[in-house]
Amino acid sequence: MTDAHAPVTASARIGRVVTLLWLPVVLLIAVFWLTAGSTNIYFPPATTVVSTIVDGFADGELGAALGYSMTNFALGFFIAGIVGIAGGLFLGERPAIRGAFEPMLNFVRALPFVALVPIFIIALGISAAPKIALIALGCLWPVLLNTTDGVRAISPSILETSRSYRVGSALRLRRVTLMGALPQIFAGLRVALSVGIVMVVVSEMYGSTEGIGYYILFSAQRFAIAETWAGTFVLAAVGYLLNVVFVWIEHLTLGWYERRAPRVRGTRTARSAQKVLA
Amino acid sequence: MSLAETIAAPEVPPRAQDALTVEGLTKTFGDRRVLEGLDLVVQPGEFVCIVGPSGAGKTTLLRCLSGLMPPTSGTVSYGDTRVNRPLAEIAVVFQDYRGSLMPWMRVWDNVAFPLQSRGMPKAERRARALRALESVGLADVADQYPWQLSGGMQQRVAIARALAYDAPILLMDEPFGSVDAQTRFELEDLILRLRAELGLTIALVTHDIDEAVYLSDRVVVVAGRPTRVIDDVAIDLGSAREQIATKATPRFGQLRSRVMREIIDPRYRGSQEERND
Repeated sequence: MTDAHAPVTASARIGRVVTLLWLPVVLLIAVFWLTAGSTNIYFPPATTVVSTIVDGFADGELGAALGYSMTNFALGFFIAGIVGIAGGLFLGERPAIRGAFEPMLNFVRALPFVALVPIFIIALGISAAPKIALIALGCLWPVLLNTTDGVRAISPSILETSRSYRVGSALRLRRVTLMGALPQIFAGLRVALSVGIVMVVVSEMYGSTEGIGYYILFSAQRFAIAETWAGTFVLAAVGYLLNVVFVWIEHLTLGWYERRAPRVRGTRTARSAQKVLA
Repeated sequence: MSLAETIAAPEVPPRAQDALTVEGLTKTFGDRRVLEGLDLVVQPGEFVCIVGPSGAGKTTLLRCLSGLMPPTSGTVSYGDTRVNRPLAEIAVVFQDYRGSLMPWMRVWDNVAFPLQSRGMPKAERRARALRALESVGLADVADQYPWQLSGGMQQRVAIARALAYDAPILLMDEPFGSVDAQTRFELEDLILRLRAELGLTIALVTHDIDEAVYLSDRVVVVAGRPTRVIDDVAIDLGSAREQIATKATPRFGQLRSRVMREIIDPRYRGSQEERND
């Protein structure tokens, strides 16, 4: 409590920024320095890549590709979030149905979704819809499985208390089950975020004429190496920014959870994240 | 809160209209019979402690009393109403206060949450929660989170929640089992005072014989395998109690000895293996 509310002095703030940023800055300088004047066709000078990015946005090509991809991503992630949380709450509250679903869930979890790209494109065509479906499918499982685990991890005394105080089922779902599972729902959404970015790229590498994944692939096929790097860096930057925004939203939503004793929170998120990545 | 404070007799008539009655209550888990043929009546305004050894199924009994668990046979009723689900007239304070308070709700919200189900507007809920918190001496922490409070304070929040629920009957399951001795005495006196001020009817389950005798008008001793009622002791210590003086009276010692003798009586004890399961 006391630490979080203590006034931060200007010098302390500068110190913190330096601690956080010295390594990225050093690496960035190193990249520019090492690639300066490079004649290696695969590793063009960083300045060339930067100017390609600037030009790409200026002539609208890169911006359009990014816009297309991010729209697909947003829709797919949103669908996966809604379906995953709703489904996870449902399965988490009903052990009998969960038992019936469990073998299937474990099978699907083991399936590499990238392998589904060709069949989706063949079956659904090369429009945006199959891409959104692929992104949603990839993002769904971490959210669904984490939500289910989160609901199961809610202390039985909390549910018993709600029951003995006659809390109605709609209110319980909203203020007890959902809130109790929220830390793990966020852990699932965070995994889904990185899975989603992978699915965006992969879905555009097969039977596509638009998007940032297509931009990277098409540039590489034309041996436009600077463009290939440009697309890759833009994608990485967007992924990083999304993660920053996500952490910020999580922090706003889960303030109560983060400020609890570290031993309580550390174990739970770490465990669930591992489970999904395993 | 001083420890040497005398808690006077009930000041208001009991709010409960009817007795809480248990008839022939039997509870079986699989092929293991936990409770057998329990009969028990808690009269309006009475403070009854149910005391028994660990593992005697006291929590099971309380869960049946609160309507959280259906009995295998026998009945629990409040007046003419069968208690086969939680009733609005019965509030429960659990042993596990840490688990029964929701860490994502502020203290006042925890206390007021059950009222939300009744469609009470937020301002009114908060006002009621603050009144209940005030009566347990915690009005100043209403906007903190439960995990920022000590164990004893958390249990007082749980008591405030039961008060805000405004039920005439309060069921308590080892409510002071996990706090230190001094906090325990303070909470015991708090409950006695609230009961006197609000006319509550209380059934409290405990393994602590001193606590049972000190608090109650009547001690029901349960023991055995399966658990039965083996004694029903009227506690004639007068209605005013005080931690040091009451416990120093010869009568307190006699009552305490009687209950203890029954609880450790080998006739009511199962084998060690059975007791540990």
